[in-house]
Amino acid sequence: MERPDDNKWLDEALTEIIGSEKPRTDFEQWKQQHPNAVKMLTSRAGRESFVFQSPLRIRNIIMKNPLTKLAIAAVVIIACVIGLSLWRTTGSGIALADVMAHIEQVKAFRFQFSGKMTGEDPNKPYSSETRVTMLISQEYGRKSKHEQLDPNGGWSKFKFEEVYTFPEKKTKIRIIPKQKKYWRIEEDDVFAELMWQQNDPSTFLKKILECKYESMGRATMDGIEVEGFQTTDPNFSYFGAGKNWQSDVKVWVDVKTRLPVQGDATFAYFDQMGDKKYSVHLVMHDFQWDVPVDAAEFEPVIPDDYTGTVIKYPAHITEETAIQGLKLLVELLGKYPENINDVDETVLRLAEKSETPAAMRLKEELKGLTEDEISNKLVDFLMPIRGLGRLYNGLRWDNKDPAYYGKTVTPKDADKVLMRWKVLDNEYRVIYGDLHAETVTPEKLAELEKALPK
Amino acid sequence: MESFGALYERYHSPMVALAYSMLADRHLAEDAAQEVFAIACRDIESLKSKERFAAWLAGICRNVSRQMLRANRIKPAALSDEHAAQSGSDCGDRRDTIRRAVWNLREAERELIVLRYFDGFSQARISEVLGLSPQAVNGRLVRAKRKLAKYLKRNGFTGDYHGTS
Repeated sequence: MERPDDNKWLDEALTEIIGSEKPRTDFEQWKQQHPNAVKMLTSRAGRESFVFQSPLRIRNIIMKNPLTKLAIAAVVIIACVIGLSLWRTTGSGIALADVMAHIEQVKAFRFQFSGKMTGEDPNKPYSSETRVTMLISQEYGRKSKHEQLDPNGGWSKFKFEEVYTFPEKKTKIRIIPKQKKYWRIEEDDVFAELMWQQNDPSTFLKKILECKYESMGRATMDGIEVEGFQTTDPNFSYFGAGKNWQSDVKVWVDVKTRLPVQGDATFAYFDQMGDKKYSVHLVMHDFQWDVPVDAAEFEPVIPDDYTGTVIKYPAHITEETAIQGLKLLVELLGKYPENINDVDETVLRLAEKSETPAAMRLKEELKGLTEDEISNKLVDFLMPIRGLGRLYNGLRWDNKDPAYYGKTVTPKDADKVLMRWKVLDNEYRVIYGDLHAETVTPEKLAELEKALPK
Repeated sequence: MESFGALYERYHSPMVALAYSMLADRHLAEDAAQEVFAIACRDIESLKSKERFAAWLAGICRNVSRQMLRANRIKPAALSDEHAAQSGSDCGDRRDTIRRAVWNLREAERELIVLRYFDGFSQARISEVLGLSPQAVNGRLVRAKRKLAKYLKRNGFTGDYHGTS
């Protein structure tokens, strides 16, 4: 097994940069600087003996005097005003940050995730609704049931699948009953990390915390007193939404438990001309916190007559993987595909129509095979293309500002940007049409993109 | 109070390191760690499992640091243009490149790297503080260092590196 300390030169460099004088740990000084915290600790330690009795007795005595009542009322109002101004000064985000700390302590919880995507182009009406039931356990993993609304009505079993994710093992299992099929996917490092974040209320909150947000005040939701928080910050980013997206994100938190009751997000995507192309509405609801779970719930049950495909992604999907994927796409299609978001799913459909030597060879090899046989036969063959899609989606999720221009760039274009993403604030990595790559400044990238065919 | 004092002694340094991994500023990180323990005093009753104290504290620390980043709209010092401008010499450039490489890691990886090298915390201690299994800590450290090495090598660093100052 590789040890993390095998690179001596790197250890020396990191020790020099990060390692520093040991922080001074002085509890006495901390106590002096935080008298209120000390008071809270001390009073809590003695609570069982006196705290619940003595203040009540004093209150009964002083409240008998009407003048005292008035004075107390005035003090309460002043205290509320001060409290409110403090609340604003410190930002209600402190309360929202507490919510994350509370979620981190919950061992298992369930909730529902509903989503609706609507195409806004009147010439291409489109609507799709999904709902996901999630069970998240810190100990055992994650289990979800995904359903899609049948265009003919009803949730039925039109598109239904069960997904088990085990982030620590970097493994995901998808079971699709309608196809009597399952997929076991061993994820690359980036997607393994994303497993922790996808469909996760903590990530949702974390993204809000990273933005400018406001408290919407208190309300009652399903009989529960809640406080709402909202952000419309253009920097809000979730499932890759970011640039060119408009977001309106809200979360309501139970005032007592400080755990979310509902999350609600509306995203609208605008094209370069400023026209709304489509909108997405997501709701996280029906939270059940601290539910008892059993290990058996997280053991996938796969009937004997189901067939399976195993996909093992390499741990590191790199620029080289992406270049291999782009090369393979050109061999199969004779050009770059227009987009690479779902390229692994569409490439076979595109290759079907292609007459390049590579596509003809592939079609010959697949002739007469069943769908399952084709899936299994193509696992290795399609890996670079899948890797390309992975890399691109991972960059989107990671806010690395990726872009792809396969619609206008050809394999002969040695000076045109085919794909790019941000490496650092002042560095972009660019893959050109002829598949050579280099790092450029944002200014140089702007020049290159200006020269792209419209 | 004594027992809280013992917890303070045990976890103060890791909290400074954790905050430093997000803020990239030693003084701000120390302020953040102070605040973390004040919040821990206030909210200690919400801690449901004593075994998860360190991970709970780490959660508070991340939130406090995020708040500080957001409130001050600060950019981690390691990445600021001002810092880059100050480092005119070759040594300064090298240090700056390493710093940038570290602060461009994913948050989870950066936490591990900083904890490991800030005060030489063992993997067992990191595992305790972050609430991760020792295997997960080992695996993630290996991956993070591989990324750093690759980035640094691409930027002219080699195995015969002999310090930055």
